[in-house]
Amino acid sequence: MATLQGIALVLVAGAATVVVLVRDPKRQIFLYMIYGLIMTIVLALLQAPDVALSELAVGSVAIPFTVLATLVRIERGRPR
Amino acid sequence: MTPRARAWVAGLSSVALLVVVLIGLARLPSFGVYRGPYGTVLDSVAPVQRKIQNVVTAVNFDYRGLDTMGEEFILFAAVAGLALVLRQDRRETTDEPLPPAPGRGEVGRTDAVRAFSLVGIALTSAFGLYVAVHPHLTPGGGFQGGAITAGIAALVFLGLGYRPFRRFVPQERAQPFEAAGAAGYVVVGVATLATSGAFLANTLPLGTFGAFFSTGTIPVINFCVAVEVVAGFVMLFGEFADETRVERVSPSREGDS
Repeated sequence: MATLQGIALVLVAGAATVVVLVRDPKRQIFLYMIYGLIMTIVLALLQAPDVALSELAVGSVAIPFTVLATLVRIERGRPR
Repeated sequence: MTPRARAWVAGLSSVALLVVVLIGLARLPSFGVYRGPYGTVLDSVAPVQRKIQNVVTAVNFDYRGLDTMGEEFILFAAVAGLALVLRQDRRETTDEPLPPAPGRGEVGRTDAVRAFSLVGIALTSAFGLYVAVHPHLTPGGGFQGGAITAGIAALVFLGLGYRPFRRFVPQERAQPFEAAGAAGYVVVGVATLATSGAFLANTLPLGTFGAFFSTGTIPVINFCVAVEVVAGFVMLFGEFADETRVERVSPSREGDS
């Protein structure tokens, strides 16, 4: 279990770094969804299933949806 | 401030921050060591006192029920504020579905995307509702299950489009449920206050350990939270979906086109 937790923690650190380094918001939000899924696995491995479920719903559905909708809105709001 | 001076300030404060972080990391308890006494106490006490399997839920909806009520109203205030700001910005006067924005047709979806989201909707609703109604027996509860269930709304929008979304999950109809869910929590609190003299005291019969109808007021409060969270997230998705649809009419934008 400790090995799995170690691997998952390294993965989540890597995913978080990638999310920060990618500067295009559209790519960023899809990478963020992957980060959210890995974070869910980390929390499940740390035996916090209640928190894992919250992260699953908020991190991979609610936040990406609102950010994507906002990006669409910003693009269409630009002067033509 | 010159760029050179700014670099010095940034460098020095980074070094100072690094030192503080390293000191903090060195004093952390080692990985997996739990030092808080309350968790250990509750683990042995809660299953006996409340006949509950999931001690996390016992803390959220019973021992610390008042804190969770505050959290519930954070979501309520956030969604209400969002609706207030975005609707004002759109100058909305009716609850009718918004017309398509000029020059923007319905974006088509391929059959594969549609089929995939329909399967997703079926699985998500089963999983979300299961998580939402078993807070005392399995991990999860009203918040997690509610947020997962509301993911159906997002799937309908992404997989089927704006019009089916607006027909299937109109956020105007979610509004009363959002309010009723939030109010229900307070009503339970006031009712227990009237009957036992303590706000959110667990006064209902506790039932048998592991049964669906057990643990007293916990499933009742959880149901209120589930209703509030589903309605809140549906409203949230709805408001954002409307934003992708309508042409902005505020004066600051009119000169742009």
